Amino acid sequence: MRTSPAEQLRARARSLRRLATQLNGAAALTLHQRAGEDAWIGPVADHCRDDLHAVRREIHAAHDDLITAARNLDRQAVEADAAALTAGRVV
Amino acid sequence: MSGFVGFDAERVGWLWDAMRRASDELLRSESTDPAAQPAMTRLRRARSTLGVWIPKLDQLVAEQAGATTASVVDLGAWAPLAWLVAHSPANATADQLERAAMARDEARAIADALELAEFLGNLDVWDLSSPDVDLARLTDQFLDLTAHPTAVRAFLSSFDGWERLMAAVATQRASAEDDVAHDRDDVGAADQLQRCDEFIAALGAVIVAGSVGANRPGHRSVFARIDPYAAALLLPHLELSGQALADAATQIVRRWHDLPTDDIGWIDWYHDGDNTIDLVFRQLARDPDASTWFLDAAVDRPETVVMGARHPSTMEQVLWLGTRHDESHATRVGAIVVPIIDWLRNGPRSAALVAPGSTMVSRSAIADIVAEWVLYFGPRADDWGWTFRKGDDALRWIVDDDAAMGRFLDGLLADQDELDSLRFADSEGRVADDLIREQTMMFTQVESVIEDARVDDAAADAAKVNLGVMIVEQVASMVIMPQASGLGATVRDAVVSATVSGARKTLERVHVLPPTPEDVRKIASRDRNERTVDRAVIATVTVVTQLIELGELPANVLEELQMEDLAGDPACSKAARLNDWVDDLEPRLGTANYNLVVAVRNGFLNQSDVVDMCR
Repeated sequence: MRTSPAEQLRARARSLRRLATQLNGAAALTLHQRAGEDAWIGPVADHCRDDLHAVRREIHAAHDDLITAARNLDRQAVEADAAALTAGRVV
Repeated sequence: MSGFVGFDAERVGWLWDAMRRASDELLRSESTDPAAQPAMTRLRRARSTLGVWIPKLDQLVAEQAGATTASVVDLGAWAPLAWLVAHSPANATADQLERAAMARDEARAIADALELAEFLGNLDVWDLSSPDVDLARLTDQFLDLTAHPTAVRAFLSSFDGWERLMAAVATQRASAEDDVAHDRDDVGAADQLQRCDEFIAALGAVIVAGSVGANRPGHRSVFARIDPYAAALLLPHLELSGQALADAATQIVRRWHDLPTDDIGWIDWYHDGDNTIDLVFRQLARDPDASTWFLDAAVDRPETVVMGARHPSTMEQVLWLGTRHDESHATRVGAIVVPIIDWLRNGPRSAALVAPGSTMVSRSAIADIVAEWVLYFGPRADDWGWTFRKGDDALRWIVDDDAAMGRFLDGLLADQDELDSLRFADSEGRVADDLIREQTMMFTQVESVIEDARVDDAAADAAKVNLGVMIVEQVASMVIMPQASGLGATVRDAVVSATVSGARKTLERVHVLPPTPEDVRKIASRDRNERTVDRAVIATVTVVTQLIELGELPANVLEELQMEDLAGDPACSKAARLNDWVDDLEPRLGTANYNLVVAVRNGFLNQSDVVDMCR
């Protein structure tokens, strides 16, 4: 069955939200805990820890980007619904 | 980036494995949706960062497969790991070589730190007293360590023998202290005591050096494991002040009061010198802010404030510092003092009961502290969350012996900073009726407390007379006439001082205050009604004397007050003389001043009571 543009947009939003949820539990978020001074010490280790914190920030930001994108898609779906109604078509 | 690293091969191996799996997981999180592309760019960057470290860790672990425990590796000479070397040693600049040299020192320090941690970790508790263990050398090693923060952190991360090490050194120190106390000429014990103290100080320096930043191991985790006596010995060397010192003190003191789980007891139970509480409170007493914070944190554990020390003066000093008026809000002090009194009255329950040599803060000490806050045991009881009856009851309990009564009255006379800052009239002459009522209520309450206290007659007599003197001093400092509100502090103090002196002369002349020591008994034994009138005479004469000092009345008005040849009931006659005298002042005073004189008199002597007295 052919899906409407609004349904397609909502499906994409759902997919992005699923991905965002996955990122929330990403193993990369906890790597810094394994890289503590009980594991290694020194300027190089400090640098690694800084990088792992940066990785963590990137993933959090990616999560936020996905949620924002999903919201945008949902909004577009609402607009698509409204446009379809205006055009007199049954959605 | 220097070329040196200390690492635990197994843990780095785990990190490498975790990184690899995390990177694969991110790869599986790809999305081709155009709306997801900004997020995908971020994930690719994250993977790329992990991709830099994974091969490096892989190589580090592979090359150092033989390293089973913590190791230090000079990566500068390790060609395959070029990523760890910022320069080629062959064509390095002078600056780069200097940095590399510093890194080499640091690497050596880390190696020394790890070796020291391993040596101390394997040490038996009693080894510290063996000739093979040189405490002085260990002290030097610790002090050397403090020059290298990275090495200190390596030590703190690797060393897990705090409990045994500190138990050993604290026990040895306490024994040496006992020996010195028993024989001051025992040079060997004195030397040992000094070596232990230096060792403990060096350990403190190590903890301080490793405590930079919130995520560094600090004293908290150490204190949680070691005997509280050992923690108390370390405390002075941790450079703590204010809130941090209070927190550390709270942690140590609570642990000491909670008893050890092994039923053997804390180290200080078996030695004669200062115990944990003495040491901690002495440290707190050097820092008034820390004393305040400490008391705030102890409201749910009053016993940790008033019990345990072998020298109660240390606890008393902290209590005094933390409840002193100039820094404390009344409600805050109430939150501290009320539970302490409740706890003391309901019977102590604490580990300190079984700790040899423990003492408790005396009622006298509490009396000294509460003197400054006496209003909150009566007129302002609500502010401390208890009723007048409960506050009054507590006050009676506190001063129910000669020593406590003495210190309470001394405190009343000496420490009334809060009252001194209040005024019976504002700058426009409005009379603060509530304040006057509050004062009269307080004096009545205190007199009643004195009367009912189980103190000897002479002490009670002296207390009643002192109360009269206190009224003079208090009223003199609280009145300060509206027209004197612009006076500077020095002039105002002079007026108060002259008022007190002048009023006392008049009051002694009319035998309301005793002119000689022989009169104390006679005046103190007057009945309740007469003493009530006496208090009103004291307060009114003081106000009038101040008006004279300020030039509002001629000095001879005081001579017009006569209490000789009283007929009938003394209280009634005296009240009539006082009222006549005040009435005669009206034509000579402005309305505002006269109203204040009347308000003070009426505050101390309800006129309807006069009617009853004369019935």
